[in-house]
Amino acid sequence: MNSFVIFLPITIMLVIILVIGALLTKMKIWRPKRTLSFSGIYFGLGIVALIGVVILSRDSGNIESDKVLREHIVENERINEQVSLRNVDAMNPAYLKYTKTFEPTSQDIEVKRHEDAFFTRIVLTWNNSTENKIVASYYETPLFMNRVNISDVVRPSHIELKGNELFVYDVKTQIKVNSVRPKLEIIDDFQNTAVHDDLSNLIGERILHLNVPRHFNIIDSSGWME
Amino acid sequence: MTFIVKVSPIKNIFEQVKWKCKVYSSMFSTVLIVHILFSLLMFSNGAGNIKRGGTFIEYDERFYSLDILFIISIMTLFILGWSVANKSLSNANFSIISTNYTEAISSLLLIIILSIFTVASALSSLYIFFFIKLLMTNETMVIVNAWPNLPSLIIFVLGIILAGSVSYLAKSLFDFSKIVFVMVIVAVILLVSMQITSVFPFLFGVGWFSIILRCLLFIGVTWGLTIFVRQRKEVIRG
Repeated sequence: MNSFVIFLPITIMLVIILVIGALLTKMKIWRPKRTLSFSGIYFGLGIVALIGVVILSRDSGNIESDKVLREHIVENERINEQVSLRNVDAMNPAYLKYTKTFEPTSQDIEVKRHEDAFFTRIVLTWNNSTENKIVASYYETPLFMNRVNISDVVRPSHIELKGNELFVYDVKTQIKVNSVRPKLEIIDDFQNTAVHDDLSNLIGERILHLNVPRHFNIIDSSGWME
Repeated sequence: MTFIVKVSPIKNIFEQVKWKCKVYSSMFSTVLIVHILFSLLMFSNGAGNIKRGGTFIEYDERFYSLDILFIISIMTLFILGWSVANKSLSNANFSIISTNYTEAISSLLLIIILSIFTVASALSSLYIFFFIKLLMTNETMVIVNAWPNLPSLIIFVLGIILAGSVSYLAKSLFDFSKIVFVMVIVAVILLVSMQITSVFPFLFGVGWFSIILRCLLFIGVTWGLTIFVRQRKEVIRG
């Protein structure tokens, strides 16, 4: 079956090429001079299109340079390290997206994530206040996918308290993009170097910081909380 | 042997190539029309797509690359190389005294010119259709690199020159008919595609430089064989 699936398109393509070739040799319109002028016009259009694409690529300045992306990767690593040490104060306040305050009624709070929400890191810090208040602050560093800044497109993680359960979930965003790659991807595939460009992967961090008084019990079933 | 007019081999080959470019002009337009046709097929869906998923994001990129045009060009050059060998005698310029040796070289040079033309046509098609797409649709466009990648272009040229010379050699060796030839190509492509992940690195190595060098080596070998075979060939009349 598999070989037949390849067999059919190849045969059809070859037959199409043969038929076109045979037709063009029969047709008297395609004399050398006309072929020359036609291909000249076509190549001219190609050059015009190339210049157009180059100009438009300069116009759309949403693609970050390698240097900026590397800086962001270093910054994210630093933030990750600080978060592992529960040192949330080291975070840049510019990354703070929102702060929410919950006033739960029971002492036991269970943190539940939607199955897709594991990109968001949750950090717990304790405080000594006696109030029934949990402060959740959500940080997000600039997000890049394939060198394009997508921070404005995606929506931040959502937090909600229902009864004694704290829900964390992400809204999935679909991004559809067309791109021109004037090279042979097929060669890269055989060399196994295609997708391992770390700058075109997803770059960015999402951190949810929960500041909880000591008399609460936080239950985490996922084991991913810090 | 004595000739009335002595023509140097280089001038002879040059004249033959010029003559052949005129006689085989329908090949150039075949390449153009095949490229336009397959670019039209590529217009809405692109050459392929990349899907990346984060936890909160689904990234779907359709890219317009030279891959489909490369494969189509290889097939076209297989057929055109075969037809250059097929009609070589009837389309030779007899106003210049030519030998089998100069005839083979001029045909191979024609294949090179055809290959360079094919690359130019493939690039033009890619850019023209992407530019039209860019202007006509509202979809998001990302242009990471607008300029063509040089090693890709070199591999493109060498790959299709190799395809053309291999089929020229095959036609010089065996007297295929059109249908048998198509069947042979399909069989070869099928056999190779089944084992392509092991065959390709075995034949061409890993890395741009290795691919380019080995392509050059294979082209040299096929050219040598072709000239050798053509010199030994008997004259066929009719």
